[in-house]
Amino acid sequence: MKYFRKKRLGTALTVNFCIFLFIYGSKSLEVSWVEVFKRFANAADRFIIDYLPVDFSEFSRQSEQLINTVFLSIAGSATGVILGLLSALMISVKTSPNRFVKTIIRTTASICRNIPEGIWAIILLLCFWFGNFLAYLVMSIISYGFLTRVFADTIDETNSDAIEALEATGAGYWQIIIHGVLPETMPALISWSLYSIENNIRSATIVGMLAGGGIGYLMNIYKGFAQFPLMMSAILMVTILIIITDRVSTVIRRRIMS
Amino acid sequence: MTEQTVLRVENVDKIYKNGVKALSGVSFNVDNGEFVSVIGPSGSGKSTLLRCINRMIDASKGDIYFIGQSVNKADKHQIKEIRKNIGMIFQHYNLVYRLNALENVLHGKLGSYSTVQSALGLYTAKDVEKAIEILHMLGLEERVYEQCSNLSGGQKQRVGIARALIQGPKMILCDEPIASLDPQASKVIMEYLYDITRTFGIPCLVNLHQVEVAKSYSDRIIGLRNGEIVFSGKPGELTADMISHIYGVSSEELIS
Amino acid sequence: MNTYSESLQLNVGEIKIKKTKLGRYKLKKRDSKDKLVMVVIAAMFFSLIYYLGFEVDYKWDMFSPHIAKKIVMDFFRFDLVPADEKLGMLSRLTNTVLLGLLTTLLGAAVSFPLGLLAANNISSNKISTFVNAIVSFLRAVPTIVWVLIFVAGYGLSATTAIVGMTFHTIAFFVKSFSESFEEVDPGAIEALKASGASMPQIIFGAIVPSAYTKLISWIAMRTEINFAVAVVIGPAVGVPGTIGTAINVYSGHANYSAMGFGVMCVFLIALAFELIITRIKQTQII
Repeated sequence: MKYFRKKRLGTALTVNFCIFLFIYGSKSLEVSWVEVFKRFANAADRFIIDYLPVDFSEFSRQSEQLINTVFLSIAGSATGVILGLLSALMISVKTSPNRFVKTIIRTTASICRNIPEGIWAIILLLCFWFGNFLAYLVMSIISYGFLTRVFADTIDETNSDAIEALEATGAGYWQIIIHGVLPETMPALISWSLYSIENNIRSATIVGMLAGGGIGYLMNIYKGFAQFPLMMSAILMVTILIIITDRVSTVIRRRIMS
Repeated sequence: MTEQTVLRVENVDKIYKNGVKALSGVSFNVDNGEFVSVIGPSGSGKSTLLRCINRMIDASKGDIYFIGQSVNKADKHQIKEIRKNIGMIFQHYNLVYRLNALENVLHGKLGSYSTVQSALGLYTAKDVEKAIEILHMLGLEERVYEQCSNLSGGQKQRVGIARALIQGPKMILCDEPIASLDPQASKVIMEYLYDITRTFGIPCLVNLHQVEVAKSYSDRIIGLRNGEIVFSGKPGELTADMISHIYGVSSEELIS
Repeated sequence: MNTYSESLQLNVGEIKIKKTKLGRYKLKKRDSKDKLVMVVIAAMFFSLIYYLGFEVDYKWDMFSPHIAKKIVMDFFRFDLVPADEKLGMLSRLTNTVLLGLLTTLLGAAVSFPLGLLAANNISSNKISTFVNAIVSFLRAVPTIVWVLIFVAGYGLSATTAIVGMTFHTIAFFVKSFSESFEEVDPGAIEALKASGASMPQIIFGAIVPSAYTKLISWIAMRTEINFAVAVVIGPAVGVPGTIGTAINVYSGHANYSAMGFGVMCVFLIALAFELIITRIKQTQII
């Protein structure tokens, strides 16, 4: 009985804490939930008035920027893959050559990963020009941070038997990586790279707004000029793009991993 | 030391960083064309001993000479040369399972190629022919392009043997080559290893769990217990008393 | 001594082995999987080269090394930031964390029943397909877009941010919760069913306890994501009182040490979340 009482007490405490956090948070952020529900109908109305009917008059310009977004996301990811793979090899337990290098790379990757993309855009905007290049830098940084970590985990999780065998035949460091580590981890590495492309396409809206480049940049303009029906068409296109990339990458991943 | 001595191990100690003493005062020779088995309970230092010979592990004390060259004093380049001349076969085959049999066999030749050459797959025709030849000899001619993950245990181990053979080794080290195989596949593998020693005169140093297998194939048996050699002699000299001394239990309790 | 290489007679002529066009021996038979991997790699390289070569305008004359230098020099000069500004920054940081937490809590509470409806081993097939279809559409709309949409109705405030962020959070949770429910051992459900338990009893007796640790780890993961979103949503849309907005303002005023202090705060919190989540995942595996 004691066990159940303890468990019940734990659950009660957690629930109470969550409720307290919710109330305290709402107060401190000045969120009135009554207002939220009261004005929900109003918000929906405003949405319909402002955003609809959808305006597709700039379709060709939008699709151009959408394609730009796709290339931007993949290019950022590709940079992340190249640098991330090298870094992962340096920090993985099995292939790491040096402790000092390892610490530096770990820290760099952690900084790249844990500072959100929008903040990177703000910092880099101070010294670089607004536009495609800045967006590419931001995408590369967040992809690098993410991929370095998952690549290193992937390499650490692979079976190290083959590495031992190649070492025993007199193969060099890079030969062991090229002939042992890479073939064994390739499907997982590709799968993570696809995942990073998906992430980049999701982030493209924010990155475009703050750094320029792609459909996000266009949406920022629409926002500035209050052209909401045009914004709505851009939103729809981004949504469809995200759905398509999700599907494509799921299909590819399934075929590669099978 | 005679012409025939390929490997000389003198007074080798190995103490791991955590203080575990894996080997103490181990000395023995291996001659050309000799099939030597090392038996002993798990944790007796068999694997450590094998790995000290090609410097996968550094011995703490003592000397190891491979064809007259010191192994434990070798520099990086010399270690590579020594490893190129020693084939190694593993309990878990240690193949790259996403590659095919041919590619895995050719891995045995990596030490002779530059990184760029091997990365582009520019193996010489002679090496590829030799790889195919060896696979043929081991009865794997139908499996040349088969991904290794699709092979059976015995076939995987034969690919492992082929990878060791293509090195043109002066000696072969086998770490529990049949411990993960069923009896039938075990027999096939042991026959191949035995044939290789007999036909080509390559000496084999084999770690074995099964005393009976060691007895029927070896020229000489070395018994290890707690990192020390407690027996060294012909299979016929290995008495039941000796076996129980090596394993620390009476031989009836051992499932061979 | 009869060495191995001498004794081996090469008679490859008898063995069938294919050659490539260049006259080399073929090492590999590429299957569709290998080809797909190569296509993906090629596509990534092509995009990189195309984007950097044709889409990007390089205006290196607009690159300002002196500003870069100044940022690096001032970034860690936290002593240049007055104490009251630091305090203000910390309160905005707290607000941002709360914004993320609140959204996560609200999203989790709403998603729990929806997740049950979406799990095909609990609800009926029709309902589960229906809920999943809606949710997968909602998930495709980026969080920032939800916030933009609600700005029209609620104005620029924390309320807008919370409502907007909650939508994406719910979409995320319904999918992950329902997947966790679906992974529950059918035997455990069957056993309770056989003993005559009602549906709520099955849910709280078998499904929730079995999926509990997974739900916790999803919630932790989303807390991390929502914190990052809460930081970024400030500068992107203009939600006042969050750390992101403050960082943006300081960067506009060229107050790099205050900006650096803010970025440092964000980094430390995000790092803390990451470490906690890694910890949760590790304990789960064991």
